[in-house]
This record gives sequence, structure tokens and C-alpha cells, in this order.
Amino acid sequence: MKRVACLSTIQSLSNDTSSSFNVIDIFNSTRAYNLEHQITGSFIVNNDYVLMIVEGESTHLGNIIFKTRQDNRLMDFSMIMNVEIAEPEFTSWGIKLLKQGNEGQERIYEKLNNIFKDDFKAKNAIDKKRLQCFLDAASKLKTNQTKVKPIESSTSLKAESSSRPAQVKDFQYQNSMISLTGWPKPGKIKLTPELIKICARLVGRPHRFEDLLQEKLVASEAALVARLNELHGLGIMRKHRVDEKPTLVGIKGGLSNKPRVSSTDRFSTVLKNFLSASKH
Amino acid sequence: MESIHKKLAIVGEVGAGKTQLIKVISEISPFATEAKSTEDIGKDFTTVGIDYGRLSLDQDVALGLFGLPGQKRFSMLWEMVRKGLWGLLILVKYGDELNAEALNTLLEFFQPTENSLPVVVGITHAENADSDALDELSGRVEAILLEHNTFAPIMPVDPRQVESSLMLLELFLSLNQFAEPEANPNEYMNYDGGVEVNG
Ligand SMILES: Nc1nc2c(ncn2[C@@H]2O[C@H](COP(=O)(O)OP(=O)(O)O)[C@@H](O)[C@H]2O)c(=O)[nH]1
Repeated sequence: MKRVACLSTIQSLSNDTSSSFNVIDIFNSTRAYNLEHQITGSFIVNNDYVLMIVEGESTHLGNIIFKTRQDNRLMDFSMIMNVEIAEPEFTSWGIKLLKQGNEGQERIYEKLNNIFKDDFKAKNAIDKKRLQCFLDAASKLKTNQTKVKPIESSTSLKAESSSRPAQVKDFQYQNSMISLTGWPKPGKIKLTPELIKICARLVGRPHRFEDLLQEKLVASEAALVARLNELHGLGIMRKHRVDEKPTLVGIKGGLSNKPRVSSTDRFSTVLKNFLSASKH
Repeated sequence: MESIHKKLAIVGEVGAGKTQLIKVISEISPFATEAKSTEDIGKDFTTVGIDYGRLSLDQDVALGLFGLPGQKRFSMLWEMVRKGLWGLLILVKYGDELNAEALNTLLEFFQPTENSLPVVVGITHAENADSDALDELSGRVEAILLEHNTFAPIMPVDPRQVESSLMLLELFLSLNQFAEPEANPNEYMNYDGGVEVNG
């Protein structure tokens, strides 16, 4: 078993000041594989830099490194650790955003600054600089832990939204497969029962437009398109190749399109009836 | 007929609105709740300090509502309801400092992803919040959820209002219908990312 760490820099989108939309996407693209192959570790983001630490069997690690290196959203990919380990330090594969607002991250501080520090081998000045940013950021998290966080500090997940005037009306949903990268932010849109149903289907799971239509989540095709346009306008929608399998996006338990409870499930039916009756 | 009792855990700090929400939902029960002997799963809980209520949907169908404190030291209470949960509702009070550590502990305990447990985060006391501040708070909550591999809707909720409370149930219903208890890893093996619509 091995532990490998790599540094890279996020390629900023020319029309977008925040690259966090990309970041979550990149993280998502390895999540499924890592879950499948018991790869643990962390995808640590600090401003434009990514420090990826992965642990697992070396062939699988090789695949994941290869895949990440090929990702053209990441630049200056560089491996800074490659060591044999007896057992993993991480229990799962997750993302960490080293931001002052994200409290409660003592463990990442502990790992970066104490456990892994001596194993990091930054080869050149750029790597040294990038690595230092992570170590410093982690230390800052630690020292700021007790301070009251200023409310205006922005979160790196605040990607999409206002800065993205998406060309919504040009988008054709017919014959395409779409998913959502996450639930819409509450300040941007008010969830209605229709949006809830659509999001519950699409967050993390690609669906064909036609399948959504068939499920009759909303009254008409025009209404479905209108709801999708609303979501699209928030910048959380992704389009997938139509031949892609209608599954995934890496969260265990959130993968399949199959209903968890059959429609005959009595509890669901009774509750559903109750909720629709309560609306009048 | 066999009776059906599902459980919804409502976790949050003091003042987040747990009691209020349980009261509002219990009161809209279309069926009168006579705490019927052994059927009433709430009885054991109220004695140990778990806030309890129920939405009786039919003579033999009910949703039990369990209000639980958010701090780790109450995890023995969490333990009492964890099994077979229908949903985990986390209430966060807008305007209070977000207790990230408590949220981390909670997610570690319930492991929503591993257990296919639908999660919703409701932000209460947010009726006068401005939308940027709301997004800022939800971004921080989302980051913590992601660290636990969990996607969850984060939305403002007013537990004093019936409509708002029903919306939560609507969400859990949808999430329950489309979450798989045991994901088959082979299904997502070949995934290779996607093309950004806006990219
Ligand atoms: N203005 C406002 N008051 C709320 C909201 N949610 C709860 N409250 C009130 O806040 C107080 C504390 O709520 P309670 O349910 O006792 O909180 P608990 O400690 O979590 O059980 C009660 O007076 C509620 O009516 C909300 O969204 N807005």
C-alpha cells in the first residue's frame, strides 16, 4: 500500500473569477473510481492550488494519478510524495477547502503539519512555494479556530450564480443527458415541490431529458424546460455525453436511478397523498 | 394490518426550532394521536429528554419526529434513534456562529452516505436574512457536507409555518424515493466526468 501526494494548479476559466465550480467537478470525476477501489485520501484546495493525497494499492493510485494528470483543468502537475505505508491515515476520500471560514479542520492540520510533513519532497521552487501555502493555510486554520468568523468571508463553493450569465435560452435539453453538481443555493432560488423533485433526481446523477419528461415530474414539457432553465441559470448544471451510462456521480447511495422504495410503498403513498391534500 | 412507523431525526442547537417544528408537524396530523400503549414509540424517549412528536397519517401509519440536541455529548441520544431512520434533518440557526465541529461529529456519527440516509439542512430564523449571507452560510455547510461525501439540500425553513414545515417532508419524500440503499459500485465504474454546459 502506498501514499502519494501531488500538487497542481487550477486553470482559471477566462470568463469566471471563481474556479470552484471546476474544483468540485474535478473532485467529482475521481470520486467514483476512488470509492470503487478503496482509495482514501483528500483533495485539498487552497485558492488556486490543489494538493491531492491518495492512499491505496499502487495500481489504482497509478490510474488515478494518470487520470488527474490528464485533466486539462489542472496545470503544473507534480508528484511530491510517494511512500510505502502500512495503513492509511484517511478513512475515506473527501474534499477539503482550506478557507478560514471552514472551521473544525484540526485533523487536516494535524496530518499536513505533523504526520506527512517529512514525507513531502518538493523538487523545485514552485512546488516548495505551493506546498508551503498548504502548510501555512492549515496552520492558520488552527490558530483561527477560536476566533469569531467574519460573516463576509466568502466561501469557495460560492461558485456559479451571479457571475455566470449562462446562455440559458440557447440550450437544447432534448436528446441530452444532464445532471446537477449540487443543490441550488438557498439565496438564489426558492425550492418548490417541482424543483425539489427535479433536483432529487439530478443532483449527482445524470438523466436523459426524455426520461425526466416521462416521469411527469411537472405538468408539461414547457414547464420542465422552464424549471431546468432556472437551474441552468444558477450554473449548477452539467451536460453529459448521451451514450454515457445513466448513473453515477460518485456518491455512494446517490447513484442509481432506481427508486429506493417502490411506488407501492405504503408509507410514501400515504405521505404523498397527505402532502398533496395539504396544499389546498 | 401491520403498523408503519418511520423516524425523522431533527438535530440542532438550542433555539434552532426543533420543538417548534415537531409541534407544528404533529398538529397537522389528519388522524388524532391517542398515544396508544406499546405502539407509541415516543413514550420511551420523552422520559430521557428527547423531544418527541408524531405525524399520524393513517390509523396504522405514522412518522415519528425526534428532536435531538446537536452536541456530541448527547450522542447517546442519537444512538437511540439512529437505526432505520427515514431522514436526518439538521437545523441551523441563522445568526448563530456555525458549529462546524458539531456538524462534523454529527455526520461522522450518522454516516448518511454509507447508510443512504437522506439529509436536509434547514436554516431557521432566516426570514430576514439577505440572500448573500444565506448563500455564504449554506456554502460553509455545503463544504462540510462534501467532506463527508454528502449532498444535501440546504434551505431556509420557518418551523412556525405549516407550509414551510410541509416542504421539508416533501423533500425527504423525494430524497427517499430516489436514493438507493445499496449502491452497486459497478454501475458507476466507467464514469469519466462530464462536459460542462457553461464551459
Ligand atoms: N422568528 C423565528 N423564530 C423561530 C424560528 N424557528 C423557531 N423559532 C422560535 O425560536 C424559539 C426557539 O425554538 P425551539 O423550537 O424551542 O428551539 P429548540 O431549542 O431547537 O427546540 C421558539 O420561540 C420558536 O418559535 C424561525 O425560523 N424564525
